[in-house]
Amino acid sequence: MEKPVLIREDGLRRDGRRPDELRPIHIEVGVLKNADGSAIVEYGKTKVIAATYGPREIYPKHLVLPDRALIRCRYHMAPFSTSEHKSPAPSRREIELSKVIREALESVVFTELFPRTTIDIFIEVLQADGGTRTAGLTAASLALADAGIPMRDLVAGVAVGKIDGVLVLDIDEIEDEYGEADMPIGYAASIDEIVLLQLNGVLTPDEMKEAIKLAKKGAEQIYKLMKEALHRKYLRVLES
Amino acid sequence: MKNVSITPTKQPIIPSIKKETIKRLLKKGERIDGRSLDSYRSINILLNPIPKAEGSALVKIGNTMVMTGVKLEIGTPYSDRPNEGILQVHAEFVPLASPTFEPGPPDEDAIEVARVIDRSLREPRAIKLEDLVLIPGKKVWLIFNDLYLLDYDGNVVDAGMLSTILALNMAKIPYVNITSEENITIDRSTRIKPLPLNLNVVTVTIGIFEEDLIVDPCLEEELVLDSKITFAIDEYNRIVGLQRTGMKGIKTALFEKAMELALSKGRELHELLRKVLNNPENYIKRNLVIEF
Amino acid sequence: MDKRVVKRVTPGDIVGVEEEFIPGYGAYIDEEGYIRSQLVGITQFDLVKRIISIKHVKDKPLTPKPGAIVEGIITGISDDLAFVNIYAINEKFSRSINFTGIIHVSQASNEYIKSLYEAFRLGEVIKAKVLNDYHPYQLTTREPGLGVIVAYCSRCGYPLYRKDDRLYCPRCDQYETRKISVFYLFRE
Repeated sequence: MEKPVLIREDGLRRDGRRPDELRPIHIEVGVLKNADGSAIVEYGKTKVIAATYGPREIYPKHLVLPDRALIRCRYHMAPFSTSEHKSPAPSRREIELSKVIREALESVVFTELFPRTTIDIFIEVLQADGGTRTAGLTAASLALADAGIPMRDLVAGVAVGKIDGVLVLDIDEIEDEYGEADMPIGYAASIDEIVLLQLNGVLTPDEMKEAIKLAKKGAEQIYKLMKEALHRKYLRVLES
Repeated sequence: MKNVSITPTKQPIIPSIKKETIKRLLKKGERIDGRSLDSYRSINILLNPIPKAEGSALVKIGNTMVMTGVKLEIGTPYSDRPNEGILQVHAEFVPLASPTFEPGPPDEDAIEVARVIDRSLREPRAIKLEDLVLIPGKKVWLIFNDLYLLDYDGNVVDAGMLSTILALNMAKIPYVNITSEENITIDRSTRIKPLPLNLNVVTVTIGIFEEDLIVDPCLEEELVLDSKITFAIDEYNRIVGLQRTGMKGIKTALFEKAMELALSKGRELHELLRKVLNNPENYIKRNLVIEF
Repeated sequence: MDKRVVKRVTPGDIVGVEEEFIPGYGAYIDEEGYIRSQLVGITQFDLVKRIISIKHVKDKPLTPKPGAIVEGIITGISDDLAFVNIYAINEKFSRSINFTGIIHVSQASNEYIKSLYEAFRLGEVIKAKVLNDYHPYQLTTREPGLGVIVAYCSRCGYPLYRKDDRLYCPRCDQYETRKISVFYLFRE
């Protein structure tokens, strides 16, 4: 396949976005009845749903940690989420992403408040168009907030990419495939901490610093939308 | 529950007194094994310990021992990349390496290590995959790069990456006799040319404990660290991969400090690689001797 | 700005500073001394004790806490120990509430009983009070409001009716003894 033009002559991207512009983002919390907490997050065409259960008792019992809660996390892609059918069996990629998302969330959840229990987080990618792990992280953190699990901060996920030599925010699938770098970041904006950080691609040290700056800018915008979604769902009613 | 990432519950137990000692020493700028905060443990290297493999290397960083073997096979290319060879990186944390490892398919830690190394080789195009085509669109070389963790004392990624890049450098492509598309034979007794590489890559793992940065954490240190960042760095001082692990967030300023430290350590490791690869015969032994 | 104004907050929001308040439920102190919210909810102030806490919007208890009144079903019983499957905390039901509690024979009744079978039977529903903070939850039924709220005849399995201080099976025409809660459901 021929590499498409990623940055047009007018400096905009394939879909007409500026380099530092996010895709349209849609967030909704409390979407599932059974789950203790849930959220749907859409970054452009990427659609992810996340749900949490717990704190609840652990089976099998030998997994119990005496001083804190366990976090169990599953990132999974639906078979229909990609252009070609994806086998529902978990791939190596999904196992790794489950781990990095779990570690990102462990960085913000007060697990020590619920010893000997587990908090289960399930992330299902319904449609994949780049940035699924970051959208998944955003959704999972909202689901935890929805469930009332004490957290140090909300986490917003966003990916920075380098395409045709330009650093851009929130890359989609085509930009990921033909770009030079993809750097997903999970950022807790209020307490200014990076909780997820990966890089697939090549960046110079200076580009790296720029990329982090850009990612934080994008994550802050998403963070604002996350707060808005929570206020819309729950807090507006409490105004009176 | 299967296929779920769970907070690790079966970690090697270290006495809490030792934990406290490690923490207190780190605060004072010292480490439990007497190293300075920014130095690696001693690195021992053995090249081609497994002559049957097309290329192999054994790397010991302190007590962490990783063996990597490269095997070459003939296969069909991916349909979206018909004119490229295929690289597959796998890691096995075999049960003999630690009392906490169990037999079975690779767990998430092993998969993570393999994928970090895989990405760090793939993204900067460290291997000239386009030179590994036998019949365009039909037959290409498959590179199986398998890491074997033999002794586990922390920082598996750096040891794994070092042994991987050394094994790939040592790998020789065997002679193939192509008569027709179906009839390809490999003559492994004659190895004709080295595996074509574009550049070398090393990884540097930085441990973060509160405001302190340490290079190459050993297992006991890993258990008290807040988090770790692994930087993959190529010969041109570019960052070609990144992975954060651990259960605590990182402030931006600290990350930039860690990056500077990793870049300087990366230069040292590339220096070491050059030294080894310029005189490989010094590192080839008849037996598995790893103490120098 | 008046600090006592009720604020609507999400996790990470600053609700005060260390010098002014002590963080209560749903609040924590960060490294810089700010008190931040852990939850989505509204701020609540205790101006006497100088405690600031956050009330979660759903207000659903996550785990049983000491002193909480729980409801559960007896899932296992022996002479000195009974296992309880807790399904409600402080009258709040949720499908995800599912914890194991245990009752020792000494905690079943104020009077001396030889065996737990004198207080409950398998499958009966009880109200109990939580004594500790972690799983498995130790429970007590030693107060008048606590004890069985639904019991079944040990002969025919028909629900028992409360007659005075005893339980009566209208089918078998016999009485049985239990540790009965004042909230027992079926009455004559």
